[in-house]
Amino acid sequence: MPRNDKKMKNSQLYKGSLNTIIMKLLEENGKMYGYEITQKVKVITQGELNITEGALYPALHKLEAEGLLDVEIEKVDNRMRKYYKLTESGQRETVNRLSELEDFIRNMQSLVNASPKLEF
Amino acid sequence: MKLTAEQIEYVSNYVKSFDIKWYELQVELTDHMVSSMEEIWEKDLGLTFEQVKQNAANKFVGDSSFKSIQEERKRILQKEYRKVQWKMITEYLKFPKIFGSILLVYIAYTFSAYFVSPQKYLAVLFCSLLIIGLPSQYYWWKSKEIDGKHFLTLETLNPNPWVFSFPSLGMSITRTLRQELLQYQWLVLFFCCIWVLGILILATAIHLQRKTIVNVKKQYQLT
Repeated sequence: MPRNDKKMKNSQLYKGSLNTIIMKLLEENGKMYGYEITQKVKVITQGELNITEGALYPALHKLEAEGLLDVEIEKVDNRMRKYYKLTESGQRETVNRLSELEDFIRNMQSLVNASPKLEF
Repeated sequence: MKLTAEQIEYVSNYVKSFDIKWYELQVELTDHMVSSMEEIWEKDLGLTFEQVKQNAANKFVGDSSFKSIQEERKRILQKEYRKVQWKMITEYLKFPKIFGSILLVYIAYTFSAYFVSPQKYLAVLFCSLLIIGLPSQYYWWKSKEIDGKHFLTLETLNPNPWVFSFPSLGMSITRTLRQELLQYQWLVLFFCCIWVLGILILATAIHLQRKTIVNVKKQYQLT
Protein backbone atom coordinates (compact mmCIF):
# COMPACT_ATOMS: atom_id res chain seq x y z
CA MET A 1 0.00 0.00 0.00
CA PRO A 2 1.35 3.45 -0.78
CA ARG A 3 2.22 5.52 2.23
CA ASN A 4 0.17 8.48 1.21
CA ASP A 5 -1.85 8.23 -2.01
CA LYS A 6 -2.06 11.76 -3.35
CA LYS A 7 -4.86 12.20 -5.84
CA MET A 8 -3.89 14.82 -8.38
CA LYS A 9 -7.28 16.49 -8.24
CA ASN A 10 -6.84 17.25 -4.54
CA SER A 11 -3.47 18.83 -4.79
CA GLN A 12 -3.09 22.26 -6.33
CA LEU A 13 0.70 21.96 -6.01
CA TYR A 14 0.82 18.91 -8.29
CA LYS A 15 -1.96 20.14 -10.57
CA GLY A 16 0.07 23.20 -11.56
CA SER A 17 2.90 20.94 -12.72
CA LEU A 18 0.83 18.24 -14.45
CA ASN A 19 1.42 19.53 -17.98
CA THR A 20 5.17 19.69 -17.37
CA ILE A 21 5.16 16.16 -15.90
CA ILE A 22 3.36 14.85 -19.02
CA MET A 23 5.70 16.69 -21.37
CA LYS A 24 8.76 15.43 -19.51
CA LEU A 25 7.51 11.82 -19.73
CA LEU A 26 6.83 12.19 -23.45
CA GLU A 27 10.26 13.71 -23.98
CA GLU A 28 11.83 10.66 -22.35
CA ASN A 29 9.59 7.97 -23.84
CA GLY A 30 8.81 9.30 -27.33
CA LYS A 31 5.13 8.41 -27.50
CA MET A 32 2.74 7.28 -24.77
CA TYR A 33 -0.97 6.59 -24.29
CA GLY A 34 -3.16 7.86 -21.44
CA TYR A 35 -3.18 4.77 -19.22
CA GLU A 36 0.56 4.32 -19.69
CA ILE A 37 1.19 7.85 -18.39
CA THR A 38 -0.82 7.25 -15.20
CA GLN A 39 1.05 3.98 -14.57
CA LYS A 40 4.46 5.49 -15.30
CA VAL A 41 3.87 8.31 -12.80
CA LYS A 42 2.75 5.75 -10.21
CA VAL A 43 5.91 3.69 -10.74
CA ILE A 44 8.30 6.68 -10.69
CA THR A 45 6.75 8.10 -7.52
CA GLN A 46 6.44 4.62 -5.97
CA GLY A 47 2.68 4.96 -5.72
CA GLU A 48 2.82 8.34 -3.99
CA LEU A 49 1.20 10.20 -6.85
CA ASN A 50 -1.95 9.07 -8.61
CA ILE A 51 -3.06 11.08 -11.65
CA THR A 52 -6.83 10.86 -11.96
CA GLU A 53 -8.42 10.37 -15.38
CA GLY A 54 -10.31 13.64 -14.88
CA ALA A 55 -7.01 15.52 -14.58
CA LEU A 56 -4.99 13.58 -17.16
CA TYR A 57 -7.24 13.74 -20.21
CA PRO A 58 -8.13 17.45 -20.05
CA ALA A 59 -4.38 18.15 -19.67
CA LEU A 60 -3.54 15.98 -22.71
CA HIS A 61 -6.38 17.50 -24.74
CA LYS A 62 -5.28 21.03 -23.87
CA LEU A 63 -1.67 20.36 -24.85
CA GLU A 64 -2.92 18.77 -28.09
CA ALA A 65 -5.19 21.74 -28.87
CA GLU A 66 -2.29 24.13 -28.20
CA GLY A 67 -0.24 22.26 -30.81
CA LEU A 68 2.33 21.02 -28.28
CA LEU A 69 1.30 17.38 -28.72
CA ASP A 70 0.51 15.36 -31.81
CA VAL A 71 -1.68 12.28 -31.95
CA GLU A 72 -1.03 8.91 -33.57
CA ILE A 73 -3.56 6.07 -33.76
CA GLU A 74 -2.44 2.45 -33.82
CA LYS A 75 -4.23 -0.86 -33.65
CA VAL A 76 -3.02 -2.77 -30.59
CA ASP A 77 -4.51 -6.03 -29.24
CA ASN A 78 -7.87 -5.80 -31.06
CA ARG A 79 -8.43 -2.14 -30.24
CA MET A 80 -7.41 1.32 -31.39
CA ARG A 81 -4.94 3.18 -29.21
CA LYS A 82 -4.34 6.92 -29.18
CA TYR A 83 -0.68 7.78 -28.65
CA TYR A 84 0.57 11.25 -27.79
CA LYS A 85 3.96 12.61 -28.78
CA LEU A 86 5.63 16.00 -28.59
CA THR A 87 5.57 18.25 -31.64
CA GLU A 88 8.60 20.37 -32.49
CA SER A 89 7.15 23.34 -30.61
CA GLY A 90 6.24 20.92 -27.79
CA GLN A 91 9.88 19.87 -27.51
CA ARG A 92 11.01 23.49 -27.24
CA GLU A 93 8.26 24.24 -24.72
CA THR A 94 9.26 21.22 -22.60
CA VAL A 95 12.77 22.63 -22.20
CA ASN A 96 11.34 26.01 -21.11
CA ARG A 97 8.80 24.55 -18.71
CA LEU A 98 11.30 22.17 -17.12
CA SER A 99 13.71 25.01 -16.57
CA GLU A 100 10.88 27.06 -14.99
CA LEU A 101 9.91 24.12 -12.78
CA GLU A 102 13.51 23.57 -11.68
CA ASP A 103 13.82 27.25 -10.76
CA PHE A 104 10.56 27.01 -8.84
CA ILE A 105 11.70 23.92 -6.92
CA ARG A 106 15.08 25.55 -6.13
CA ASN A 107 13.42 28.71 -4.86
CA MET A 108 10.90 26.78 -2.80
CA GLN A 109 13.68 24.69 -1.27
CA SER A 110 15.59 27.85 -0.37
CA LEU A 111 12.47 29.34 1.20
CA VAL A 112 11.42 26.21 3.08
CA ASN A 113 14.93 25.44 4.35
CA ALA A 114 15.90 29.02 5.14
CA SER A 115 16.92 29.50 8.76
CA PRO A 116 15.50 32.61 10.36
CA LYS A 117 17.81 35.58 10.05
CA LEU A 118 18.80 37.06 13.36
CA GLU A 119 19.06 40.77 13.38
CA PHE A 120 20.49 42.80 16.24
CA MET B 1 -4.80 -11.25 -19.08
CA LYS B 2 -5.70 -9.94 -22.53
CA LEU B 3 -9.35 -9.23 -23.33
CA THR B 4 -10.93 -10.89 -26.38
CA ALA B 5 -12.32 -8.89 -29.32
CA GLU B 6 -15.88 -9.54 -28.06
CA GLN B 7 -15.04 -8.33 -24.56
CA ILE B 8 -13.43 -5.18 -25.99
CA GLU B 9 -16.54 -4.59 -28.09
CA TYR B 10 -18.62 -4.91 -24.91
CA VAL B 11 -16.42 -2.35 -23.11
CA SER B 12 -16.62 -0.01 -26.09
CA ASN B 13 -20.43 -0.19 -26.02
CA TYR B 14 -20.34 0.36 -22.26
CA VAL B 15 -18.35 3.61 -22.79
CA LYS B 16 -20.76 4.71 -25.55
CA SER B 17 -23.72 4.06 -23.23
CA PHE B 18 -22.61 7.14 -21.23
CA ASP B 19 -23.50 9.27 -24.27
CA ILE B 20 -19.90 9.47 -25.46
CA LYS B 21 -20.67 10.43 -29.04
CA TRP B 22 -17.25 11.31 -30.37
CA TYR B 23 -14.92 8.77 -31.94
CA GLU B 24 -11.66 10.21 -30.55
CA LEU B 25 -13.04 9.87 -27.00
CA GLN B 26 -14.56 6.44 -27.61
CA VAL B 27 -11.15 5.17 -28.75
CA GLU B 28 -9.26 6.75 -25.87
CA LEU B 29 -11.63 5.84 -23.04
CA THR B 30 -12.20 2.28 -24.30
CA ASP B 31 -8.44 1.71 -24.46
CA HIS B 32 -8.01 3.15 -20.96
CA MET B 33 -10.76 0.92 -19.57
CA VAL B 34 -9.42 -2.18 -21.34
CA SER B 35 -5.79 -1.54 -20.26
CA SER B 36 -6.95 -1.04 -16.69
CA MET B 37 -9.13 -4.20 -16.80
CA GLU B 38 -6.26 -6.29 -18.17
CA GLU B 39 -4.02 -5.15 -15.35
CA ILE B 40 -6.65 -5.79 -12.66
CA TRP B 41 -7.31 -9.25 -14.08
CA GLU B 42 -3.58 -10.02 -14.25
CA LYS B 43 -3.33 -9.37 -10.50
CA ASP B 44 -6.43 -11.39 -9.56
CA LEU B 45 -7.40 -14.13 -11.99
CA GLY B 46 -10.28 -15.18 -9.73
CA LEU B 47 -12.36 -12.12 -10.64
CA THR B 48 -15.17 -12.33 -13.18
CA PHE B 49 -15.26 -10.13 -16.31
CA GLU B 50 -18.09 -8.07 -14.81
CA GLN B 51 -16.17 -7.50 -11.54
CA VAL B 52 -13.06 -6.45 -13.45
CA LYS B 53 -15.11 -4.09 -15.61
CA GLN B 54 -16.74 -2.56 -12.52
CA ASN B 55 -13.36 -2.08 -10.78
CA ALA B 56 -11.99 -0.27 -13.82
CA ALA B 57 -15.19 1.79 -14.22
CA ASN B 58 -15.03 2.91 -10.58
CA LYS B 59 -12.15 5.24 -11.51
CA PHE B 60 -14.43 7.16 -13.84
CA VAL B 61 -16.57 8.94 -11.27
CA GLY B 62 -17.14 12.58 -10.34
CA ASP B 63 -14.75 14.91 -12.16
CA SER B 64 -13.29 11.86 -13.89
CA SER B 65 -16.60 10.59 -15.28
CA PHE B 66 -16.75 9.87 -19.01
CA LYS B 67 -19.23 12.70 -19.47
CA SER B 68 -17.07 15.22 -17.55
CA ILE B 69 -14.05 14.34 -19.68
CA GLN B 70 -16.16 14.84 -22.82
CA GLU B 71 -17.53 18.19 -21.62
CA GLU B 72 -14.06 19.37 -20.64
CA ARG B 73 -12.67 18.43 -24.07
CA LYS B 74 -15.48 20.36 -25.72
CA ARG B 75 -14.68 23.45 -23.62
CA ILE B 76 -10.93 23.19 -24.32
CA LEU B 77 -11.41 22.78 -28.08
CA GLN B 78 -13.82 25.71 -28.32
CA LYS B 79 -11.50 27.96 -26.32
CA GLU B 80 -8.40 27.01 -28.35
CA TYR B 81 -10.27 27.30 -31.65
CA ARG B 82 -11.43 30.83 -30.78
CA LYS B 83 -7.87 31.73 -29.72
CA VAL B 84 -6.30 30.45 -32.95
CA GLN B 85 -8.99 32.07 -35.12
CA TRP B 86 -8.67 35.43 -33.38
CA LYS B 87 -4.89 35.30 -33.78
CA MET B 88 -5.35 34.74 -37.53
CA ILE B 89 -7.85 37.61 -37.78
CA THR B 90 -5.54 40.05 -35.98
CA GLU B 91 -2.89 39.31 -38.62
CA TYR B 92 -5.21 41.09 -41.09
CA LEU B 93 -5.39 44.09 -38.80
CA LYS B 94 -1.61 44.48 -38.77
CA PHE B 95 0.95 45.58 -41.36
CA PRO B 96 1.18 44.47 -44.22
CA LYS B 97 -2.11 42.51 -44.42
CA ILE B 98 -4.10 45.45 -43.08
CA PHE B 99 -3.83 47.01 -46.56
CA GLY B 100 -5.94 44.16 -47.91
CA SER B 101 -8.55 44.77 -45.21
CA ILE B 102 -8.57 48.53 -45.91
CA LEU B 103 -9.00 47.84 -49.62
CA LEU B 104 -12.04 45.65 -48.90
CA VAL B 105 -13.57 48.36 -46.69
CA TYR B 106 -12.94 50.90 -49.45
CA ILE B 107 -14.59 48.70 -52.11
CA ALA B 108 -17.60 48.02 -49.88
CA TYR B 109 -17.94 51.73 -49.06
CA THR B 110 -17.60 52.76 -52.74
CA PHE B 111 -20.43 50.42 -53.69
CA SER B 112 -22.74 52.14 -51.21
CA ALA B 113 -22.86 55.10 -53.63
CA TYR B 114 -24.83 52.95 -56.07
CA PHE B 115 -27.67 52.52 -53.58
CA VAL B 116 -30.16 55.28 -52.82
CA SER B 117 -31.00 53.82 -49.44
CA PRO B 118 -28.00 53.04 -47.16
CA GLN B 119 -30.32 50.79 -45.15
CA LYS B 120 -30.96 48.56 -48.19
CA TYR B 121 -27.26 48.56 -49.10
CA LEU B 122 -26.21 47.34 -45.65
CA ALA B 123 -28.92 44.68 -45.66
CA VAL B 124 -27.56 43.40 -49.01
CA LEU B 125 -23.99 43.60 -47.70
CA PHE B 126 -24.72 41.54 -44.59
CA CYS B 127 -26.83 39.02 -46.53
CA SER B 128 -23.87 38.53 -48.88
CA LEU B 129 -22.02 37.02 -45.89
CA LEU B 130 -24.66 34.32 -45.79
CA ILE B 131 -23.98 33.51 -49.45
CA ILE B 132 -20.21 33.52 -48.88
CA GLY B 133 -20.62 31.37 -45.76
CA LEU B 134 -22.96 28.74 -47.20
CA PRO B 135 -20.24 26.74 -49.03
CA SER B 136 -18.26 26.57 -45.77
CA GLN B 137 -21.40 25.42 -43.96
CA TYR B 138 -21.95 22.73 -46.59
CA TYR B 139 -18.31 21.62 -46.46
CA TRP B 140 -18.48 21.32 -42.67
CA TRP B 141 -21.74 19.38 -42.84
CA LYS B 142 -20.25 17.05 -45.47
CA SER B 143 -17.00 16.46 -43.54
CA LYS B 144 -18.23 16.25 -39.96
CA GLU B 145 -18.65 12.53 -40.42
CA ILE B 146 -15.67 10.60 -41.81
CA ASP B 147 -16.16 6.88 -42.49
CA GLY B 148 -19.27 6.97 -40.27
CA LYS B 149 -17.27 8.39 -37.35
CA HIS B 150 -18.04 11.67 -35.64
CA PHE B 151 -15.26 13.84 -34.21
CA LEU B 152 -15.65 16.51 -31.56
CA THR B 153 -12.68 18.30 -33.12
CA LEU B 154 -14.70 18.74 -36.32
CA GLU B 155 -17.96 19.54 -34.55
CA THR B 156 -16.23 22.50 -32.86
CA LEU B 157 -15.49 24.02 -36.27
CA ASN B 158 -19.17 24.46 -37.09
CA PRO B 159 -19.43 27.88 -38.82
CA ASN B 160 -23.23 27.79 -38.40
CA PRO B 161 -23.50 30.39 -35.58
CA TRP B 162 -21.53 32.96 -37.60
CA VAL B 163 -23.03 32.26 -41.02
CA PHE B 164 -26.64 32.57 -39.89
CA SER B 165 -26.15 35.40 -37.43
CA PHE B 166 -24.74 37.86 -39.99
CA PRO B 167 -27.95 38.50 -42.00
CA SER B 168 -30.08 38.89 -38.85
CA LEU B 169 -27.45 41.21 -37.38
CA GLY B 170 -27.49 43.32 -40.55
CA MET B 171 -31.30 43.47 -40.62
CA SER B 172 -31.65 44.45 -36.99
CA ILE B 173 -28.92 47.11 -37.19
CA THR B 174 -30.32 48.75 -40.30
CA ARG B 175 -33.87 48.68 -38.91
CA THR B 176 -32.81 50.28 -35.64
CA LEU B 177 -30.56 52.90 -37.22
CA ARG B 178 -32.71 53.76 -40.25
CA GLN B 179 -32.77 57.53 -39.62
CA GLU B 180 -29.17 57.75 -38.40
CA LEU B 181 -27.88 55.99 -41.52
CA LEU B 182 -29.45 58.70 -43.69
CA GLN B 183 -27.94 61.45 -41.57
CA TYR B 184 -24.45 60.15 -40.85
CA GLN B 185 -22.39 58.75 -43.70
CA TRP B 186 -19.66 57.58 -41.31
CA LEU B 187 -22.09 54.97 -39.96
CA VAL B 188 -22.12 53.28 -43.39
CA LEU B 189 -18.32 53.25 -43.34
CA PHE B 190 -18.39 51.76 -39.83
CA PHE B 191 -20.67 48.93 -40.94
CA CYS B 192 -18.45 48.31 -43.98
CA CYS B 193 -15.65 47.69 -41.44
CA ILE B 194 -17.91 45.25 -39.55
CA TRP B 195 -18.66 43.51 -42.85
CA VAL B 196 -14.93 43.08 -43.52
CA LEU B 197 -14.57 41.62 -40.03
CA GLY B 198 -17.33 39.17 -40.98
CA ILE B 199 -15.41 38.23 -44.15
CA LEU B 200 -12.28 37.64 -42.06
CA ILE B 201 -14.21 35.45 -39.59
CA LEU B 202 -15.58 33.31 -42.43
CA ALA B 203 -12.27 33.11 -44.32
CA THR B 204 -10.32 32.04 -41.23
CA ALA B 205 -13.07 29.57 -40.28
CA ILE B 206 -12.86 27.96 -43.76
CA HIS B 207 -9.05 27.80 -43.55
CA LEU B 208 -9.07 26.21 -40.07
CA GLN B 209 -11.81 23.81 -41.11
CA ARG B 210 -9.83 22.47 -44.07
CA LYS B 211 -6.59 22.26 -42.10
CA THR B 212 -8.27 20.34 -39.24
CA ILE B 213 -10.08 17.90 -41.53
CA VAL B 214 -6.79 17.02 -43.26
CA ASN B 215 -5.12 16.59 -39.86
CA VAL B 216 -7.88 14.37 -38.43
CA LYS B 217 -7.86 12.17 -41.55
CA LYS B 218 -4.08 11.80 -41.28
CA GLN B 219 -4.10 11.05 -37.53
CA TYR B 220 -6.90 8.48 -37.70
CA GLN B 221 -5.83 7.06 -41.10
CA LEU B 222 -9.20 7.79 -42.68
CA THR B 223 -10.03 8.58 -46.30
